[in-house]
Amino acid sequence: MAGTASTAASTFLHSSSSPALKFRVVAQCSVSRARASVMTLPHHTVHLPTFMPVGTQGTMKGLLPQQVKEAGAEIILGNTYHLGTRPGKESMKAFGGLHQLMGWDRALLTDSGGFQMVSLSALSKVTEEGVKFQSPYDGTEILLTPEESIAIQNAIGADIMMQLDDVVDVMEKDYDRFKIATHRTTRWLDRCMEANKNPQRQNLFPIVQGGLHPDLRATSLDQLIARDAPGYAIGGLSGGEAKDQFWRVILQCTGRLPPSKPRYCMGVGFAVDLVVCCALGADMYDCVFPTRTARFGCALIDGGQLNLKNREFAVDFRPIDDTCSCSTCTHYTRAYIHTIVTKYPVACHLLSVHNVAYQMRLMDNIRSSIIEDNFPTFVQDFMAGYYKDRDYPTWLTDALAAVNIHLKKANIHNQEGVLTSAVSNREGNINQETQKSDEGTDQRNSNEEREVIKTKIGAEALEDDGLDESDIIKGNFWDHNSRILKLKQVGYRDAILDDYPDQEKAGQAAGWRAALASSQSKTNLVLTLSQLAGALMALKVKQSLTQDQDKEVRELLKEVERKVKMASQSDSPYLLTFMKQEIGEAFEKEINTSHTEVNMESGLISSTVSDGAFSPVSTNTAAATMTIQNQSLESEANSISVLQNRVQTLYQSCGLDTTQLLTTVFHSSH
Amino acid sequence: MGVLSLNCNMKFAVERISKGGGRLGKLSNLRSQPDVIHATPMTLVATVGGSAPHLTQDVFNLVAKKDAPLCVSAQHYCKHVEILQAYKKGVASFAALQGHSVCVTVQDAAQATPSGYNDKQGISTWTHGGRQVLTPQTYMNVVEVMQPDWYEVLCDADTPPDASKKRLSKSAAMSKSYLTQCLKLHKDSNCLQGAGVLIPLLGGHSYAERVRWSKWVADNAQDGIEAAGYSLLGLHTNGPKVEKIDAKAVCELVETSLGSLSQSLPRQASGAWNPLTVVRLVMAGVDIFDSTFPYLVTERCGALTFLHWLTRDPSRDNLQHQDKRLRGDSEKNKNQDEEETLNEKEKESKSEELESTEGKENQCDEEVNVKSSYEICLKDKRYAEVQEPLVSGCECYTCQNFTIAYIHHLTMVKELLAPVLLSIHNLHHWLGFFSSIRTAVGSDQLVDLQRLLQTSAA
Repeated sequence: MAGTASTAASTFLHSSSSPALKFRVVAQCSVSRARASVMTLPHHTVHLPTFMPVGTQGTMKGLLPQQVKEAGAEIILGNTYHLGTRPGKESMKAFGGLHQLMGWDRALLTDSGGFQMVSLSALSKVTEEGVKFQSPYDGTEILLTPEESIAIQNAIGADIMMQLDDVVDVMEKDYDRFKIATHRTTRWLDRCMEANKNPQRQNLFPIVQGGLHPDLRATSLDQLIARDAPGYAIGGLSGGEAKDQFWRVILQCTGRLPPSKPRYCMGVGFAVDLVVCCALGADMYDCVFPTRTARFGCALIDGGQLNLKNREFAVDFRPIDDTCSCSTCTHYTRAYIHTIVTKYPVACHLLSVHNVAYQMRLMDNIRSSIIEDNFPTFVQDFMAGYYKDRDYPTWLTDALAAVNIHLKKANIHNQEGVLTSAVSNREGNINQETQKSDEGTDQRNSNEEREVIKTKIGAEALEDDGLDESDIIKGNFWDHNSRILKLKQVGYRDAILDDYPDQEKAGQAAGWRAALASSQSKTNLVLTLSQLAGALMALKVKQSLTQDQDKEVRELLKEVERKVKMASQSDSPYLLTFMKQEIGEAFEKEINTSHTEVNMESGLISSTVSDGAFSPVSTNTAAATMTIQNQSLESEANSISVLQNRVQTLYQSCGLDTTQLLTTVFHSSH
Repeated sequence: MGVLSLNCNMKFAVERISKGGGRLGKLSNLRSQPDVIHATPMTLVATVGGSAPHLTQDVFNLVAKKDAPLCVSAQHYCKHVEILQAYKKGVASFAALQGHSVCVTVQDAAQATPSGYNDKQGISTWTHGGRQVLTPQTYMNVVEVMQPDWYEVLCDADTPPDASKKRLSKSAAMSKSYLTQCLKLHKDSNCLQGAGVLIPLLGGHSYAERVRWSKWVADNAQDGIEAAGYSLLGLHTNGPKVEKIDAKAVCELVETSLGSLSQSLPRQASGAWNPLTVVRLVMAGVDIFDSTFPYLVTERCGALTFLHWLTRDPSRDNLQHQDKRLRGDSEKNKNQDEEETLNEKEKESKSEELESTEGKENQCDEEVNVKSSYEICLKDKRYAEVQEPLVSGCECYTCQNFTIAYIHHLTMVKELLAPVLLSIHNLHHWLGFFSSIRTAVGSDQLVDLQRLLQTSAA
């Protein structure tokens, strides 16, 4: 094989030492970039690769520190933004840091807080000074500077701190915005390093930025590596980008980052991603996914998840996973958890214990296979177990082929598999060998080349996303074919959002207010309402509901209907917004009849407006009326977000995932 | 009413009747724990969905002994009969709490039971899926699959203090019918051999009714109903209101019920009785309680801090000291407030209005309307910086490892760990309280314990 792409066969094991971190590679996979290492931090020695469960507010979602340790976690993550708000920097100092406060004696990592600000607040603004945002708690404007972020992190006292970075939504289209962010992130790193009052005990990790642009990533890498940090993070990913783009960025970064330093891949936590990123040479990961999915009643197992709310588990007296030795699997049956799941917090604790233990065991298995130099076989077996039909998504075969691990696809796709692998193999070489300045172009070329091959063979087979409407209705999110869209949809971002309902609600309401008050709003309230109606109808038709749920659906439908009716009244705040966006093009022709009709059965909306008084010409009048109505707008905005949340809760109570809702209905307000 | 003889293994022996009120007893020979002896007065551990609230079995075992008796309500399992039937090993094992003995009650004492839903057919109970009617047959099916060591017989206990005469007589009539049917089903059931039967003592808040009911029970005992014990019911309809019930009145009702009945059987009184009421009920001769009270305290973000140690233990000195300090703080605050109020009184001479508003503001949280004097409220901002355990000298896992400030933080950010830590502490405190009760009964000092609670609750 032309597999010189990896750092294969290197017998030299890298190590590095800085005041608060000692890093030593103990084994290097002879085929891929995977490595097993040991990272000694002030509070604990961590065995890498590892997964860091997220204990946002100074606790691991209902588990005692002892239980987290028993589950195998050696380092956990705390969120600076939340801890800086409550209990606050000064209290944190008084308590002697988070280790002391929460009774955790192993290692701790804190993020910078910038990410939450951008994602939780609808009204954040990034300036050279820092991130300016509206507090979801009291609406006041707050400025988080690199200095302040480090001051809070110093007070928390984590073993590893993250620099404040300029986070750009990975889906952002503007190249220049990424360019600014890349350079600004470096400038902020310098300010963070300057501000660190405790470099002897607390490490500061820079974050590689640059979005999906290889040239910007290369610049970022160069600049950050020049600062000689104890370790590095790869940021700006896991925000809903295509998997195919995701792995290429990781590959580029691990190829350039010093092999003697730990590499932290932010926001990654799905089993397949963890295995792939380890193969690509990353060492540390974090994600709220394992504890979050636990709260929705899901248990992680090899090959996917079990949704314990499903009736099939009612008389299933086996443990969640009979190969798992966590305290949940040792003592509890699936059937018992089924009877209490999403009803009592104990179920959530049991699943959190198991899910954290599952992640840790997966990382352990990866680690030992690297030490035994058996990692490629491990990957092949793992993937074969995960995709039982061996119908591997292309990004996966490509990503692994880039580091010389080859998955054999099922027969139907054999031909295509070989071809794409060959191409990506070459890509791997290109990534390794060409100068970074050329890399972007080359990669683009080979992408085009691959596109051609794709077209020849037939595109259907390459389609990763097997999730359709009916899957949502049936709640089949976790079967093998539907996983990939899910990976895309449930990025770290959504996970975070969903984890803090209060903040999310506040942000949502702020979004609506902004939308309603702005004359250039992109939000169409009526459309959103009709989507809500559709979501409710779907539930009603396809799902067997309990009495309570049915009642809730009826109530919500009535409420939505009422709101839509309001839109047809001339003094309605809805109408103004509605007019501005919709009338302009689609409805101008039909300004003849005088009401809006909603066909509740189909969840579709047909709207016609007659009164000339609100034609788009009279925008000024509209704006004037708008100001007068600001107060009612406020309450409308709030009531719509309350409606949204109720629909979301309802979906969750039916055991359905709200991912689809999140992307279609719920995020339309942001 | 036919002659019924129930084969019962559960044994109870009264060891000591204290001069100061109350009695010490030993509950033994439970069918799941033939070798374990439980000293009474004791508390059962209240459960929701089979587990101690908020606690997984490993965490639960940090607080309670591995053989601590549980109280599981049929309310939580009437929807899962098929599952338990298929499981075959009973509810304790199903909930991963094998080794613990189980008492089955009809209703969950922590949840207020809506009034007016019982009829000839059966008793209404509320599950996650809505109202569920339990007939003697369906109830006994639930009991059978739960495999308890002892259980309450189905009865109509929907007799709140203001229940009408008609309601009381209806309750009695239906309960008699349920009792007869349940005992017959018990006798015919193979699965229930060896399980103890608690005969309900009813009559609402009417002395006459209670006397009449107990007389009926006593008369039928001569006919051969062999009960394992009595369950004092119809005193309340569950939920947090129970802790506010007047202790004196309840104790008189209990004494009325027990008057004509055998002294040698254990008496159980479930419900969220507050500590002082528990002590008075012990004086009235009740042996078995449950931990609904600490559970409800946890649910409202409270931590039990009341004093219950009569003997001076050096390690407890700290506690009293600390408690005084905390109490002192609040007293100081009050004094300050009063002073301010006084000043303002002079200025504005609108004394009473002001005082009452000041008083309200001084409360930790106005949302919490049911708050007892036995606890502190962790939502209170004054605990934000207190780096001490909930109760200093307390040996529970929570107090050994965490500070009040941390639990306050968890409470404020609504983290799931807050109720976990509070459950551990509150259950530990509650179990310790019962140990103090037994000591006090043993040394004829129950009155002193009562006085201690009265002073600290004042």
